[in-house]
Amino acid sequence: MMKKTLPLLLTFFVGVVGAMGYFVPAGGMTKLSSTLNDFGIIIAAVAFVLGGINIVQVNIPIVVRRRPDWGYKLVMLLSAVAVLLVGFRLHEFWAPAQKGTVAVSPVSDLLVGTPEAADTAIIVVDGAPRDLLVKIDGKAVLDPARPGEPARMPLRARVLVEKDAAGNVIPHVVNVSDTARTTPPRYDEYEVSISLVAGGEATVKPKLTYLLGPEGQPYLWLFNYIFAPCNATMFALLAFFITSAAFRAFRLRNVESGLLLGAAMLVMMGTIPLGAELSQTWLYRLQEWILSVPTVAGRRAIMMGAALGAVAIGLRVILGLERSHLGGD
Amino acid sequence: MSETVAKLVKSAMFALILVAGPASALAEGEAADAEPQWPPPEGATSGAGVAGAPGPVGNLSAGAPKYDDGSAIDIKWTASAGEAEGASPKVTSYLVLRSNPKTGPVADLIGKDPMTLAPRADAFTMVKVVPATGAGSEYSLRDQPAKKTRFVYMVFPMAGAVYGRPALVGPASTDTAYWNGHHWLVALTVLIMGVLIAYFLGQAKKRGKEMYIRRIAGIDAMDEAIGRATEMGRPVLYVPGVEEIQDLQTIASILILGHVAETVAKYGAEIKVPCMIPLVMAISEEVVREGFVRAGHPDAHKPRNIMFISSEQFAFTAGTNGIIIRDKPATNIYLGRFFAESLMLAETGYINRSIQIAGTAEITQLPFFIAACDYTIIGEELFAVSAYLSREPRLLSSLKATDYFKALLILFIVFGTVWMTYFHSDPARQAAFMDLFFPGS
Repeated sequence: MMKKTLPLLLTFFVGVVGAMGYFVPAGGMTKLSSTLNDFGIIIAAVAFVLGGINIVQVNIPIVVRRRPDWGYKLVMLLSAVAVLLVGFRLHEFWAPAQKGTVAVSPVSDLLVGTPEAADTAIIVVDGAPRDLLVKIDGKAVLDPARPGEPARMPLRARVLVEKDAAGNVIPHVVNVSDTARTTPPRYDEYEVSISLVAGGEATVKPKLTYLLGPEGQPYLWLFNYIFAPCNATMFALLAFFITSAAFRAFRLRNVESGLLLGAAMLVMMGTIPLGAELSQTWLYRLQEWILSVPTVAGRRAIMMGAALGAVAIGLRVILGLERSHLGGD
Repeated sequence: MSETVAKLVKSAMFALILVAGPASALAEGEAADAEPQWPPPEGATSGAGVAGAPGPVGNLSAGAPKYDDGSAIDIKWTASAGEAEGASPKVTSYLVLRSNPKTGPVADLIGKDPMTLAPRADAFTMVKVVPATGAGSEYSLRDQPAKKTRFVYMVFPMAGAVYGRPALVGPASTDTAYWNGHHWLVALTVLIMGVLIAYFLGQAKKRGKEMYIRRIAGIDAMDEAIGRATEMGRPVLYVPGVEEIQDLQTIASILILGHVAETVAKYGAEIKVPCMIPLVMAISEEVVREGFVRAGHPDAHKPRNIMFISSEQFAFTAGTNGIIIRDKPATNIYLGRFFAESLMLAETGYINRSIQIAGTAEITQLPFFIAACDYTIIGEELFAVSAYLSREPRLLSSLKATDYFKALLILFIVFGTVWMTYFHSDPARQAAFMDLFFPGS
């Protein structure tokens, strides 16, 4: 009962609800069908854990027993662990409670005895990675020696001390971020508001966390500089595989293979740049006809047959006629 | 609680408007760049009867979409004259409002200037601000009101924050359809298939297993190919495609995997199943185990031979090619949905001198399999393999049903060709034919 009947009943219920969601808009059928789809997505997500476990189960014994090509398995396992680690947002666990500290001094050594001390103060930013961008009151602090580039830390910026109508000092907003060079940023952002008296000095020491996870730089680096080139390499191999397969397929052996070779030659001639030059000739029109008439007819026949086959197998499974996946009768 | 908050917010908004003092929204320049808003500012007029105010929208209509689940109302209109070249003030957007069910009978709203309704903010709710796209444009908006009742819709042409002359339409209500008429042809297909299957199932029960099915070389070769692997002492490689489990080609492949696993177990060979989708791996493992149990060799099943490689297409291809090169399977079976990896797998198998049987309904990949494999199962044959292998009358009946339906389909194609050719100079009749069988095409 549990092994055969229950799966058959479940299959019937899910299949019928899925089909009803397509045909019957009323009665929340569409919603129910969509909910069942969501169930499927959740199950598929859980299966990824099984996939990870399977990779470990299959490959670790090969490495441990030094089976042939165990080195590749080791590289694969280490790569998987590396991607897994940088894929977690681990920085959220070790992020400091305070992203930075501010020390304010009423007197700045740099301003003592200078005329600027009457209306100027100094903001020092130190402790963060050198090439982060510092903005004071929304304005980027740039390096005078390198036009357009952010000033390197430790930096000292002179700021005007202004007061509002009520006589209160207007605070300065210091923002340290990594938005200048990299997208997404490597470090999280830090912003602080500081009230300074004229002639005073504030030292800001950000404690920025290096960001990990799918948006973090390590993950993107691995993706862009290792995974993507490897992927492109594999895809590029297709060109060579096509050549060798075409060489065999177009070998002239009998009438059918001769027809195949002739059609292939015509279509290739029409597709290459030289073929476009011959666009007014009968040869070009013939290749167009091959592509638009017999090819399309064949494709449609296969598509229609496949669609009917799909309907038939769908009905077989939903109606419980097909039971081989449950161990037969 | 939320209603109280909403009332407080609304009261605060009106209080602000009162404090700000009456300001005519028709004061051009001042309001030209402002966003349309609802409730309207205190003192704003609807533009009805105001000289120079943008004219109303044209052909305003509201109604439930056809074959809807009872959740939506479609509002359609054509551009206001205020969108024309040189019009001043120029219409920049349309403010679409829906009557509030709490206001009272919606019929009472028709013909009234909404700005004169008290309290006017409660009479209508803003649905959306639709940006103007130019003179002569046609607009449509799908509203999904939370409650199923009758509504009046009102559309203001807006020149910035200046209210033009409103147009009202209604009452309109949502409509729940119990049948999606767009899909009648699919329903008919399923129904005919169901009837044919039932008929041939009855016939099969009467005649036993004597039901003729044409031979499919690729399927017939499977036993021989598995036997070859057994003799050579090498494994059989089975790739169930690269699609999710809900794909019908994957389902067909998994059903065939059961038969292949059973044969492998009977012959005492080994089967390896690399998978790209973890869920396919989990199900394949169960199906292979069942196959070994059916063959009476449950102990011979090695769960680790059904493996998840990677969910990335080319990483999976590289891993599977590695298995072909290292383990040198004598037989490779590729059944299911494949994409660019089809030729990579098949060519690697060819280099390895394996017997290769491939099958897919993916048209773009069929030529690659035909070029590189010994046997190719084409399109619908993939869905027939399980029935063909089992030879069970109840499954073969579905193949018979498919064949007969195909005959009906050929008649339909001939009829359609004759119709379209005969009425080649009458586009209306051609369109009627298309509308009947393919609504919305």
